[in-house]
Amino acid sequence: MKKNTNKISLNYSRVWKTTGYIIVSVFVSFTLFSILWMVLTSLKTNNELFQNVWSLPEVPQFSNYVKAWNVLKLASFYRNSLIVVSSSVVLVLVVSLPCAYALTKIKFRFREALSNFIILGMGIPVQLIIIPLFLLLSRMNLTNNLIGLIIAYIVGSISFTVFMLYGFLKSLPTELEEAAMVDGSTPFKIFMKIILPISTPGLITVSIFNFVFLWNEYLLAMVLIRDSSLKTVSYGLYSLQISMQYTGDWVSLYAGLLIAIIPIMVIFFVLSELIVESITLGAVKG
Amino acid sequence: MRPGLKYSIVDREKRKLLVPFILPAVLLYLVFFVYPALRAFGYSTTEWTGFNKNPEFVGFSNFAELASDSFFLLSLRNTIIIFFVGGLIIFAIAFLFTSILSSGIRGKRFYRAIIFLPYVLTPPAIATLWGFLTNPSFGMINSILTKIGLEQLARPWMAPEYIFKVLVAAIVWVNIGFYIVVFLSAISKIPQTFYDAAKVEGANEFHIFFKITIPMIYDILIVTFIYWGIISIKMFELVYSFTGVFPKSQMWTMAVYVYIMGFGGTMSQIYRLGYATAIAVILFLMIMVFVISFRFVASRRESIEY
Repeated sequence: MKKNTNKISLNYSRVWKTTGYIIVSVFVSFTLFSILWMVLTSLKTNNELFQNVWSLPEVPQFSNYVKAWNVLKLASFYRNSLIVVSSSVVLVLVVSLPCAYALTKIKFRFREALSNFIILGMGIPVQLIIIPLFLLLSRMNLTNNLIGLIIAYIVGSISFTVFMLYGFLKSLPTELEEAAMVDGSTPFKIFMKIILPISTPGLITVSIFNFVFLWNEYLLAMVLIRDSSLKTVSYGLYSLQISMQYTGDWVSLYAGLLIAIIPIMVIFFVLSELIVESITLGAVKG
Repeated sequence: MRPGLKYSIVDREKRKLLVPFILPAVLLYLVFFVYPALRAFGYSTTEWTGFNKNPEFVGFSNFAELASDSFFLLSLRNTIIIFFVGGLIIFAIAFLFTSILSSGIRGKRFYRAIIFLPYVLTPPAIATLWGFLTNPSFGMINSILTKIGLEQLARPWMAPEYIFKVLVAAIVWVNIGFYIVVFLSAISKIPQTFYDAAKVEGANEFHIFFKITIPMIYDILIVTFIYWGIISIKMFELVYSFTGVFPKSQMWTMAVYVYIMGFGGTMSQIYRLGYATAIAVILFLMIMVFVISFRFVASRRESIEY
C-alpha cells in the first residue's frame, strides 16, 4: 500500500516536472525570440522589413546603428542620460547611507517615526508632486536643465534607497563598531573605515535598482526638459517612437532601442548573480 | 533621560553624527518631495489653466467633475484591472514558475536570467516590440496561431476591444521575472530538512508548495504584494509608451491621465493643472488605502497563524 502511493507520487512528480519544463521553455523562448528578432530587424533595411518581417537581413546594415547614433541623436541622449543617471545614483547614496546609518545605529527619540516618515515616500506617486515640483524648480531656474532633473531623481529615490539600506544596515552586528570605539576611533572614522566597506554589497544592489529605474524613467524628464538637446535616452526614444508614424524608419529605431538597452544588459549579465543574491535584501529584513 | 532609552558612552559619541548624517537627506526630502506633495493637495482644489496663470480656488468641484468624466472613469477602471487582474495573473504565473524552477530542473539559472530580462528593458523598446508582435497582418502572435492551426484564435490585436488586453499581457510579461527572482531567492533560504520530512511523509509537489513553501515565505509575499500594489497603481512609462504605438484612450490609466490633463501629452492642448492634481490626489489615496488596509489584514493573519 505504502509502496503504491510512493509510485503514484513519483509518476506524478515526473509528469509535473516535464509539463513545467515545457511551460517555462515556451515562455523563455518567447523572450529570447523577441530579443533576437529586434537584433535582426535592426540589421535590415526598411524595405526588407516591410516585405517580410521574418526574413533575415541580406546584408547586415550596421549603418542603421550609425544613423541612430548620429542622425536620431542617440549620442546626445546617451550623454545626457549618463550624466543625469550616474550623478543621481551616486548622490542619492551620499545622502542616504549616512541617513540610513543614523536611523539604524544611532539611538535618538523619534527614530522610529522619522524612519517611517522617510519610507512613506515610497507610497507617494511622482504624479502627485510633479506639478508643484515643476513650479518650485522653475522658480529656481532649474527647469529645462539637467541639474533640475538630477535633483528630482535624487529626491524621488531617497525613500527607496533609505529603505533598502536600512534593511541592510540593521542586519550588521554593532560589536565591530564598539570594538573600534574602545580602541579610540572617532565615530566618523568608524563610519568611513568600517561601515562604508561592509555596506558595499548593499550599496551596489540599491544602485543597480536606482540605475535601471532612472535609466527607464521619462515622466519627470518629459515634464522638466524641453530642449531636445537635453533629452535623456528613454525620453528621446519615446519621442522617436512617436515620430515613426511619420518617418517610418523602423530599422534605425530598433538600432536605437538596442543601443539604449546595452548598459542595462551589461549590468544585468555582469552582476546578475549579485542582483539575485541580494534582491530580497530589503524584503527580508525590512 | 527617558526610560527605555539607555545611552552608553558609545551611543553618546555616535550621537554627534546624528544631525550631519540625517540633515542632507531629510532636507532634500522635505523641500523637494514632501513640500510639493503637500502643495498638491491645495492645487487639487483649484482651476488652473497653465503655469503662467494663477490658480483659482474652486473647492471640491474638480473631484465632483471627475465623478462624471468618462475618460477618468475608464482610466480608473483600467488602473484597477491592471492592479487586480494583472496582479492575480502575475502572482499565479510567478508561483507556478517558481515551483517549477525550484523543483531541481536543469538550467535554472539560465531560465531565471531570461525570465527576469524584460523587467529591465526600456519601456519604448517593449512597446515598439509588442506593436510588431501583435500586428494583425504580419505580427508574430497571429502568424504562429495560423501556423499551428489555431487561426480562429487570431485577432485584430490592435483593435479597441483588444489593445488593453494586450497591454495587460505585456505588463505581465515584463513584471513576473522580478517576483520569480524574489521568490526563488526566498525559497533557497528554507531549510532542506523541511522538504525531506515532507517527502518521507509522501507529500506531493503541490502539497509541499502550498503547505511548506508559501507559509515559510509569508513575510516576503506580503512585501511583494505591497510592492506590486504601489508600482502597478502609479505605473507610467510602459503604459504611456503603449499609447504611442496603439490607438490611445482605451489604454489610459490614472497615472497617464494625470500627465495628459496637466501637460497635454501628445494628443491634446488642454492644460488643467488643478484637475490633473486632483487625479493625482486620488492616485495617492488609492495607494495609501491599499497599503494600510493590506498591512492591517496581513498582520492580523500573521498573529492567528503563530
